[in-house]
Amino acid sequence: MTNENPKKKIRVGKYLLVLLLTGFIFSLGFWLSHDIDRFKLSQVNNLRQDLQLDVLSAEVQFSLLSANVCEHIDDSSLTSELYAIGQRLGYMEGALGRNDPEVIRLKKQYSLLEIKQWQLTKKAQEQCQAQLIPILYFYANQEDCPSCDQQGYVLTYLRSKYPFLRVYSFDATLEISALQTLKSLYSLKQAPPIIIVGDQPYYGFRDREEIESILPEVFDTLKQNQTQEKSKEVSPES
Amino acid sequence: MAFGNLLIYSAVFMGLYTTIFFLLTILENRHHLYRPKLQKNFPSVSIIVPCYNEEKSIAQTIESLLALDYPHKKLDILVIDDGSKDKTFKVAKQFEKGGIVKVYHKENGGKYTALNYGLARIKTEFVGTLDADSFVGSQSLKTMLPFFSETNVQAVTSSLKIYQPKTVFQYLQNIEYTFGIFLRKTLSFMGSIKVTPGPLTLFRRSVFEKIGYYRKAHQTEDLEIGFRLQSHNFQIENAVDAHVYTVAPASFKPLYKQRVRWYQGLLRNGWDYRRLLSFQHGNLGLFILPVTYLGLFSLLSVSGLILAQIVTKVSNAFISWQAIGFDISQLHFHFDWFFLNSHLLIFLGLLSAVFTVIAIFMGQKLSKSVFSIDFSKGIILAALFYGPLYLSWWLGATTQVLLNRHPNWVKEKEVI
Repeated sequence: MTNENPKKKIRVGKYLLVLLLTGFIFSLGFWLSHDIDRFKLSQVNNLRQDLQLDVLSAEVQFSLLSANVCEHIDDSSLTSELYAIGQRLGYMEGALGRNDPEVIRLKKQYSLLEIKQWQLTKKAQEQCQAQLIPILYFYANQEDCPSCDQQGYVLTYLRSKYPFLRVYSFDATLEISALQTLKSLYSLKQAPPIIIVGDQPYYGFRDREEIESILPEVFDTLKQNQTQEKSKEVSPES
Repeated sequence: MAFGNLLIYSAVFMGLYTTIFFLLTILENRHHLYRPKLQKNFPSVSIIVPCYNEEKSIAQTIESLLALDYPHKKLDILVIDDGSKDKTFKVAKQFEKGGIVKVYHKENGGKYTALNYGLARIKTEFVGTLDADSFVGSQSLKTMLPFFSETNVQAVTSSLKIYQPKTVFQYLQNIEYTFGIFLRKTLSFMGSIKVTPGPLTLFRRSVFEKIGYYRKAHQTEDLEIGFRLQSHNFQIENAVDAHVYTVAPASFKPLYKQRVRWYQGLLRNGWDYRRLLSFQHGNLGLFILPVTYLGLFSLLSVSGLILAQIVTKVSNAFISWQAIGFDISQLHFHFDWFFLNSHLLIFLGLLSAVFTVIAIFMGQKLSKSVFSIDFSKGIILAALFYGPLYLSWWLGATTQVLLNRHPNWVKEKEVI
């Protein structure tokens, strides 16, 4: 091979320049997407703070126990705020990974708010005769709980079908003492998925029909309890 | 999944690197894109037209050659009928009267035998090859020949365009060929053109004495001869303003057969010429060829990963359907910018798409084409369907190589 093809000759400088340019664009892209994700997280955080205020305000209303507190308590906006945060957090978990420290921190705060709101719902049930059914749902990641995704779909569906349902989802693996206390209240020992409907825990996957069949029973118990509460309130006067 | 991510990021990085390299190459050579046309001292040129069952297009091919702006006394046209079963020979024979066209008939032996049949019968200083379903622009020879002023240049390629695209598949190929115009010019600046296409490439006659005639070469003789020229370190140039129009497959099946033949040829000839992957071959050996093969590997593996993701999504949808059944009341969509994907890959993918569109428009500008509605239709079609089509061709070619099956050029011609 004695022929010369000068155009084939490698110009190291050009290869390095392109490497530099590509590296720069790559880093720019990385920085940009990272920044957008962080911005989104800060938005979730803002939403969380708004919700915290709203929950606090509802709590204060209850604690004041004024005569017409039940007229002013409307949990629907709180619920939609909570679901919006939940959806966004789920998305960020997918984008940044479930081990991202910021995501974990927000998830913990979100879980605490859920517990607080669940308490409010219970209060609304007891004091305001609210026809609401809270469902507590404990899940884990796909590897530890293969049927959790399916359970999630069922609950999301039921929640949108029955406006009186309030679903509070908790990552059972989150290390947060309030969550452990909640679990111990119901003496939960088995692995997720676990749902608690009307103070009764159900272990393992429950399909749509099964949960739907539980609901009338829960409603009946709720009504009975509420009637008893009312009669207790009325009887001293009579 | 970590390995999968690494693979995807490496593939994207490599794609981005290559695109930037190409754009930069064109940019730094922007003053050397064209050569002045040949005005005097016209050398003698023969054009070999191998044909098999081309009765529909052969007349127009010969007419386009006769219309070349080139002294007829310096031009020979050799039509080699490779045992056609239709009226190709009869149609071509009608052009013999002027003395420029000579028509030969031989037993069917494959395209490379027809080319060699012609090569053995010419004495001119330069020889061109032209497929019988392609038509040359009148200025082609005058724009290609000046490149031979450099002694090491042994072949000059042209700018391939689709002849009157009418079907969806032809619009799509129109875009692909326009990108090809950009690519071939860029590769010429890197001394790395590896194919000397059947639709018009000019050679020095003497080069065939040095490197030998055409070979069967897994039914891709135009690729093999390119590799062979490169293995001898000969220079292959590109005259971007020499236009050739080729009739492209109009539907999926013939296009698929053509591409599977091309790509299996690239794989098999690539293996036969694996010695090109060396320092001695500079840009070609250390960059262009490795990127070609790594690109193929990335295409297949990344497609596999994407397919796996699609399967997961579909199975999730199935799980959801199993769990809650189908309820039309649940189908409500609302847009929320928050859920727009801000992933790095989306950003880089979009950037690569922008660079590719720039390259396509550069190809259009280089070949001095006019922007048309059909061209914009092609861009939309290419954006939507080129990826899956390209993947199907490569899957077909890879399967053929792995199963040791060989395509049949004659059968492919019957399909077209």
